[in-house]
Amino acid sequence: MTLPHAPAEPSPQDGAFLRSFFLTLLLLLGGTALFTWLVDPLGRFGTGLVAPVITADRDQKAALLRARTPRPTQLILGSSRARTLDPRCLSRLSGEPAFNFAVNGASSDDLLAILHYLRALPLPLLPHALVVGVDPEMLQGPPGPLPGLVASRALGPFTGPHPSDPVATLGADLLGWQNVSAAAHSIWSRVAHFDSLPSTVLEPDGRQRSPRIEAAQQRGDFSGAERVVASIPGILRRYESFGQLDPDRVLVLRQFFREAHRDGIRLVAFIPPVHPAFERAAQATAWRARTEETVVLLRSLDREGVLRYVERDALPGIGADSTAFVDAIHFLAPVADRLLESLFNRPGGCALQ
Amino acid sequence: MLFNSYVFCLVFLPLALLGWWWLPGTRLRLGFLTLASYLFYGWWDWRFIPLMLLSTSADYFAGGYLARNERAGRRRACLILLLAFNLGILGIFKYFDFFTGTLNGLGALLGVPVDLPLLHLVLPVGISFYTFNSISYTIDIYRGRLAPARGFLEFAAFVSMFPHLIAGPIVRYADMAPQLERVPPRLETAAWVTGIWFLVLGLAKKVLVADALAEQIVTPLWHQWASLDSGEAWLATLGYTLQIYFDFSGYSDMAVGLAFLLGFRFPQNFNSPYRAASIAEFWRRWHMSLSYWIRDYLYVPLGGSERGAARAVRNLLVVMFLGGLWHGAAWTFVVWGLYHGLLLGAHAWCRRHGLVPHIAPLGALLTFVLVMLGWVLFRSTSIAEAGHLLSVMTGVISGAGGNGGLMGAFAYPLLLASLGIVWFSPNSWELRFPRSRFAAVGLAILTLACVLRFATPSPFLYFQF
Repeated sequence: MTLPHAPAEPSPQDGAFLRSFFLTLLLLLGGTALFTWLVDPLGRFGTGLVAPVITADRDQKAALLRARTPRPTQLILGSSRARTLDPRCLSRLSGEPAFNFAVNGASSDDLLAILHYLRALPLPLLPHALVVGVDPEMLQGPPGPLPGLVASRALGPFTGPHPSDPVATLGADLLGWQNVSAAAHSIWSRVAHFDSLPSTVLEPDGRQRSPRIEAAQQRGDFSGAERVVASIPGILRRYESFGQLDPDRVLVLRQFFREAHRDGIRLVAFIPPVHPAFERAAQATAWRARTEETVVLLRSLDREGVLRYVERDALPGIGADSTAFVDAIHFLAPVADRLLESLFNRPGGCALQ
Repeated sequence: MLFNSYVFCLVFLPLALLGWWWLPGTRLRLGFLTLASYLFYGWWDWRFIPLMLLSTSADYFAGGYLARNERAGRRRACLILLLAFNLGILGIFKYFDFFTGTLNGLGALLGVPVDLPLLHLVLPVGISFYTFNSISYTIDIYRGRLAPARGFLEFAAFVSMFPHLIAGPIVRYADMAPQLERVPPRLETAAWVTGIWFLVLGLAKKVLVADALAEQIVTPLWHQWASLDSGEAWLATLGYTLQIYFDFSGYSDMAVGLAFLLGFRFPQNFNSPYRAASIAEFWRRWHMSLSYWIRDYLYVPLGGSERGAARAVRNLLVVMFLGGLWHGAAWTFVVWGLYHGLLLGAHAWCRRHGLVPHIAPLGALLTFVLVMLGWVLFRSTSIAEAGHLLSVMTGVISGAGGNGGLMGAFAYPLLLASLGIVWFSPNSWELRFPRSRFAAVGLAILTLACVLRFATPSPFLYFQF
């Protein structure tokens, strides 16, 4: 044999090296696992040392949905831009129990995974209607399901092969980067803002609230306009490389709508509105082009009779009310309510009877 | 079971090491190692365990027969039968659909309807590696260069040994036999230290570098291959060039480290291949155990370079064609193999005529670029895709571009750091592993950083072969 072998040259320090290595590794692994277990950022162990920040909300929403009684038959789906849509408002408009299952960083794979998840529940849940906010950003990104979806205990198994052995599950829960960073993020958020309200919370009906912003609004010192202006360049930059809708994600979106339609679910689709300042700044940009392509896609599905697409023009303009936006593309409750009313063509329908 | 998984690192490996070093007697320990390795293999898909057992048994008994029998005709027949058996299994699982699909396609092209059925079989992981391990055993006995294994247990442990089972290095029984016969009763602390260093460095190469390169550069760019402009195509190719090195050499380092922890020594598989000053040197530094296997069992029997330049070039083309096919049943791999065969042939011809420049950095740069171009074929899913990318890279056609923003925020620092490592830093085999307490703490922190990434399963690139 001509290939060399590595030598193992003895050194007087070998014993001390091994002791130090194993002891440190044991402490690091044990400490990290204990830290994640105590903070429990994704609600896997029920320990919950501090309120979690919402970094991977798919499992939290799945848990909330399972616990919800009566079982919701109207669901809101979409990305972070649909997370503030109020299920109470949807219930008033539809007369049926509703739930918000919109998730952060959603792609079209999320929509399909949620549909399959609902079907696979021990008592399958076949909603009567889905209100779907289709954000063009759901139709881009690297190939395959995104890491947040794959890592989800509830939805991940519906994206393809998924670790199912208990060691892999426990390992990912205690030592997975996503969980460890979520735990650190939760602690940091608590330490940095120990005297203030949490930035976001999930209500039992899946709706996202922003207590800090709500408090600032009540005090009258919420600087919405500044946030909107400051966020525009970053959002436009995100779109710069978004040269076309990803064909695979478009296929998945079509599959989702068609499967749901075959299941007899009524589908209402819309593109979430943006702040007028952003709309103006984004003329002749990739954002505008991708949004128009998404419109064409949804119109074609509408023409097929698969869904009802509510045109952007029919959605509410918000005038100069910048306080209703967290940034250029994420709106707060006032816009959310008016949006739902527009989707159902029932002005004032969200108001308490 | 992946090396970079919780179940392997936190459960299987500690238990395997505990059992291996605790059990008394070589035979008991080899039995335990074989069982553990079959469990390791079956974790992926238990249905292929009988296949590996069958292949192992056939080679073991054929080896015994070849050693006992002195009649040339019978020995030759036995060897041919065994090669047909081993390569037949490989052919059915790996190449059947490729060849029938090609025939069907060719028929359609010529207007002759050929509709041969495809089997759609799942490729047993590691089959190319353990088949080559076994074949070398039988051929070496046939050539009279090796005595047969003392017992079935020794041979089964050699074939199935989990550190090399899935993706090499391709080890030879001649190398392992003395080690299997004299298993040390306890492991020297120096071997523990070296093994841990190799294991953790390999793990870090895979999960912290190769996977990050894939995530930040290769996957997002290659997904848009049809719209990449020249610069983006070069970036994607450079990213993949580095990814495959860190991925595969990382695996090999881990295998060497694991072997150390079991008291064995595996051969070196990578020796800074991107520093090679010629394509011939590249193949002496890249996947060395395969290169040397091909040299000893294919190239030399074909006549090597002994019978003139034309014959040498032909032999290089044949062995690299087969080498390409070994990597995968697809035309991209075949063309990749032929491309390297041509490069090697051209290099041999130039050397014969004194045309090889002796400016090492220039040679290294040229070799690096030529190898990079080859990886385009290796990574592409079709000849059309590879052809398009190569045309864009060489400026024959221009791509739409505008995909640069798809790369991760750390793409450029990662590329620079990775290039720095492959070109300027000593490789795992050249490093003198530090033994201080400070180094031990640093290594433990590096291990934790790797473990944190296990939640997203990421198979090694060479698992598909």
